[in-house]
Amino acid sequence: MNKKTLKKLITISITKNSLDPKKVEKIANVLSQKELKEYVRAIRDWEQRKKVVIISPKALTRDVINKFKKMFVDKKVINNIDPSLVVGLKIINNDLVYDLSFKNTLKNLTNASQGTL
Amino acid sequence: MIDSNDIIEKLEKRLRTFGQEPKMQNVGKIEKITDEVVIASGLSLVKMGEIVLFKNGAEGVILNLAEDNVSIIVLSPTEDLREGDTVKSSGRMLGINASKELLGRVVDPRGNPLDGKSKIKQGTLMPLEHIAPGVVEREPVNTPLKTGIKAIDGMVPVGRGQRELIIGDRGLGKSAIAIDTIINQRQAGKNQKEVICIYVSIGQKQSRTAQVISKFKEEGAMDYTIVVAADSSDPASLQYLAPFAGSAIAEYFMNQGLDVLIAYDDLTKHAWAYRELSLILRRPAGREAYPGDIFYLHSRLLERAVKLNKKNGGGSITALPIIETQADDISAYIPTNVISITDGQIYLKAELFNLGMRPAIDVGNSVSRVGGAAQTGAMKSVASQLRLELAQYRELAVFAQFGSELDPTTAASLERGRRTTEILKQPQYQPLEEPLEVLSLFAVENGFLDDLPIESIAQFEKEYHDYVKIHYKKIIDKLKTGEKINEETSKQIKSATAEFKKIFTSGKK
Repeated sequence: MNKKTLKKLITISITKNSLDPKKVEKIANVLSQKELKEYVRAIRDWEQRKKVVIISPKALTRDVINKFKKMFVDKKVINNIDPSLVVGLKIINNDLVYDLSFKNTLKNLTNASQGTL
Repeated sequence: MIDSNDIIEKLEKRLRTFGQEPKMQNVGKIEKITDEVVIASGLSLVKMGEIVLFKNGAEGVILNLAEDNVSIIVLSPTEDLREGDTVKSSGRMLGINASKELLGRVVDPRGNPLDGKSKIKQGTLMPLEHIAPGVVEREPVNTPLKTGIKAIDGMVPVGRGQRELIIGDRGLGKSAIAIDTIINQRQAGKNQKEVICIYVSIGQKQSRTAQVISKFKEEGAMDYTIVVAADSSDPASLQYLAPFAGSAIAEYFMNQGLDVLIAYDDLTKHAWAYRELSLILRRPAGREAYPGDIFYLHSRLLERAVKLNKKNGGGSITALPIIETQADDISAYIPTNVISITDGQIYLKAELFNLGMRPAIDVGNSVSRVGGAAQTGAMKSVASQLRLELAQYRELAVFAQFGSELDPTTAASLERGRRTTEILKQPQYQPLEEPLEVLSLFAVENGFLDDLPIESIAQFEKEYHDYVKIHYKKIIDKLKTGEKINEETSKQIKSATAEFKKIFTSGKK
């Protein structure tokens, strides 16, 4: 299946900016195994591009989430909790990761000192 | 001993600049693993040649950038990698840590030690891919790089900054020439600028590489030599990177104004490794299934061998690439590519090897495009006619086979040619200092060997060298200066040679 066809299939699968389960089911039924694999990968990529994951040690307030929504227009903002970050945030926007957590700072500091010594 | 104040100072320096490091990382996901190549999605901001990091700590380098994915060659075994694993960009380009500590060491193309000794400490990170110095930064090759092999120094001289190809079938002594040249550089520091040597072993058997290293140690060459090894059991990715790693290390020393000799053993296996990677990366296959940029692979590597002008430090890199031919065919694809890139070739022929001519150098097909500029005055004095005389001898030898009667002049030329051929034979691992080379060629050119039996020439030469070293040290010292042999020196050498010949022949009787 070429990229153009895949793009068309994805466009058909979406209703009101989210995946339509009935349409996805219909499309999946007519695809071969290899084509289905490519289709699933394309849907996953599309989902990935449509969302921004904000990982924080505690749940973010509505105000903060709204600020992120203004920053990432047309994207769905999802807040995941990971207490091991201690303080700070980790933002995953498709293939870009902004790690502003204390955990990452400590890790970098450890790596840097090992490199120095 | 490490001073604790130094450690604290370094840490504080790190902390001061800490916040300035970018916290953004570009990540991707492994979609497919094929042999040593990983196809990953994401990584939209990576550059060509950038290092990426896998979950298990392994490193890879980006070799293909496509619209939706990137192809990564993995630099370590891929058993631990799984589809779906995360891969992160590092922001670093492929490089190797170079420092003086590398001297005497055996490393892999990533700079990891292979000799069981300690890890190489932080040096200067030299990029594996580097654009060669431009025309303005260069100067013509004007300093000899002495190989210690009479046939080469006399007729196919190599200069510092030159690329001289060594080409021939398997088992004819191509590596032996490179190894002897490296061993001979132990003399270099005494009269000229010292030469740092790098031996790059690509796709060779580990036992062979071990043998070479052992020989370097035995001859005291390891003190100024670095061995970069990517053996046949290593992934094609490492074999592909090995010559570039050697070149990067060479550039480190060259930038300090030093002269470097680098031997690539051999570039045929390097081409095979690159073909393997390119086929896995689905790049279009061309002639003999090599990718279209196979010429560029070697041309960009060999262009980095250069003689810099004084304004840019005056350092040099001399390259001795080795190419293995099949059935003496120098018109095959890779050999013709590399012949057109280099500044000459030393062609080894199986026929000569089987006739006992070792090194089996086919003087007719060997050439050095630098020529006399890479010879000292002393060598030029004795070797200028050598090539012509040997060419004439080869022509005459064909007629002599028919057993026809020859006039005295022709017979004399034949005899002289036979003795010249005999004097050019040289055992392996016995490179000669230039004064001794000059003495040997002087003796044959001036007819001192014309009446000696051919089988005694090797012994004559050995004893002659010893005799002159003991009794006529002044001649050796004069020849060491490299100056053209004037009449006075010529008389002295003739007198010494005649004297020794008398002793030799009387002893023989």
